[in-house]
Amino acid sequence: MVSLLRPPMLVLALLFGGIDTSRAEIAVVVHPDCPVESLQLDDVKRIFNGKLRQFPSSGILLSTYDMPDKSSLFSRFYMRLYGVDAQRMSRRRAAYLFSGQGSIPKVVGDEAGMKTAISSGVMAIGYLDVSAVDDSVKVVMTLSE
Amino acid sequence: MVRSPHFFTRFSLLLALSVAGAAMPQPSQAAVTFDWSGFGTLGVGRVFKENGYLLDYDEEWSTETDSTLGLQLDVISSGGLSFTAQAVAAGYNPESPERHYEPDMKLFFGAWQVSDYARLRGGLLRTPFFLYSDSIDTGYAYPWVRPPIDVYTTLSQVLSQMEGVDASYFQETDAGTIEYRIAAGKHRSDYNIGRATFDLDLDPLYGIAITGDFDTSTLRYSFYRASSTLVNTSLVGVEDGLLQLGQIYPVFNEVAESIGSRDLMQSYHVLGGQWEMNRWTFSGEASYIPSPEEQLALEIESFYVSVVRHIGPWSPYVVFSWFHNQPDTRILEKLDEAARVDLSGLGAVNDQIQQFIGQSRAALRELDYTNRRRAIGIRYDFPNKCDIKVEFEHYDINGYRSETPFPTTQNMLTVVFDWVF
Repeated sequence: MVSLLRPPMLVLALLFGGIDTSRAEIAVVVHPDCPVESLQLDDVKRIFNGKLRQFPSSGILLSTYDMPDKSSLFSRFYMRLYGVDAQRMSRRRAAYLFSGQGSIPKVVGDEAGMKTAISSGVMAIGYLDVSAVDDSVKVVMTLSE
Repeated sequence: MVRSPHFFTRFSLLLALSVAGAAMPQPSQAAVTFDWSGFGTLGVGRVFKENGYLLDYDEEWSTETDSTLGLQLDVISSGGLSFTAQAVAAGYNPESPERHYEPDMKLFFGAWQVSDYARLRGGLLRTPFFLYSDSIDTGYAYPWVRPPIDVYTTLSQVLSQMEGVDASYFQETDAGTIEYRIAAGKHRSDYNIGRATFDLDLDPLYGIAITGDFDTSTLRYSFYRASSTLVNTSLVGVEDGLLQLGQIYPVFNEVAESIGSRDLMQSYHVLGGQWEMNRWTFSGEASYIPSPEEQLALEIESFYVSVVRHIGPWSPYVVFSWFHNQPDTRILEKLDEAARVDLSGLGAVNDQIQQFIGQSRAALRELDYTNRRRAIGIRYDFPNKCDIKVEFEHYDINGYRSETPFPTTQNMLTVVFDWVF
């Protein structure tokens, strides 16, 4: 009885949009006037762990921006980038900052705040959900989840 | 801990810089930025043993041992130059137990980011022996209530700082980044071991720490050498007397040499690693200080292994650690030889020498001990960068008291609340 019902149910789900096959994406964004057009994954990893302090091949010193660690975007971004959850990422940040090894990204309030921070100058870099990207930022890399 | 007679000088400079920074206009693209940050831990704990004592905890609940407050200023210029100062006030200071919550400068250095692959720093730095040496005072930075004391206490608390310079070079590989950090400087502190007070000078202190940071793992090896001068301040007069006797009985010269050390080359080896696999974190470190086999020589070995499981905001963990401190038996042989010298003709001096030899034997015996520790705990992470941890520890200590084997156990419970801002 159950096996006879399954195919019709599947058709119904597809017809009424019950199955979401899209994958969420996160955009790494910079100022529209930033001379950098794209970044490699390794560069992004090094930027957000403080190991790279200027844009590759440009000499422009970076200003890195972060979402609050309680935001879902923060969790998604660092899970995709390093495979660690938000708590471990926060711990890493604290260890890095208070070891005197360097500064950590500045925290903005939300995605609107991220766009405001990016608009501050060509040295700014941050991240947004792809759905929030508009003309005020330039996408240099996309991370699929 | 480095004594900070310059603390108020440094703190005044820090205050002046921050006031100047606050008064300056701060456009969005300021050439110089001033960033304040800080951390704290509020801890409470006790031991569960009659007349028990560990880390300044006893049978009564106490909030001092694990409570700290730290403040840090980072001054960053767009030219790759920066300055960092960090002051910490701790409830418990193992080197000076009478100093509660007196602030100490822990970091005070200037840095030059030469390129993305090279950095120079100079000033008051942390001695980078272990994985968590650099952030030892920031409870939020590690999963446990405190880094395993068997392993961290000797090198990361006693020798936690140095005045000097370090140079880091970062090598990018396909697997990750390797940092080569070379440091050179000096360290001075005074602290207690048992009933004795020691002045310790490491000058020079130099070495290298190599850290491989890969996607899910970190591997680290540090090797340091130091010319060590260790003076037992309560025995300075005794040492003079022994050297005088040594002009007639050479064994007393060797005994005098053994109550401290002067310009003794010591080596410090530490190997450690951490591996994160999905929702697990495995970590471990081992340290070894070989005995130089002269003067007051100790051989110190230690290690720990830790397993942490991450379940959402919860992180339960277990830790097993071991520590062994072994004085050079050669010193005991010399003391026995000195005790057999017939000084009966010297009257009261003979009595004093015999008393000194007996006390020295007892003190050296007490330096011969082994700790085994098992800990189980749990950490809960709140939003907004704070956490609470609960840890129960069981210690088996095999040592001596007045040359008699003295095995003992201690159980300790600690609860801490960490935050950073």
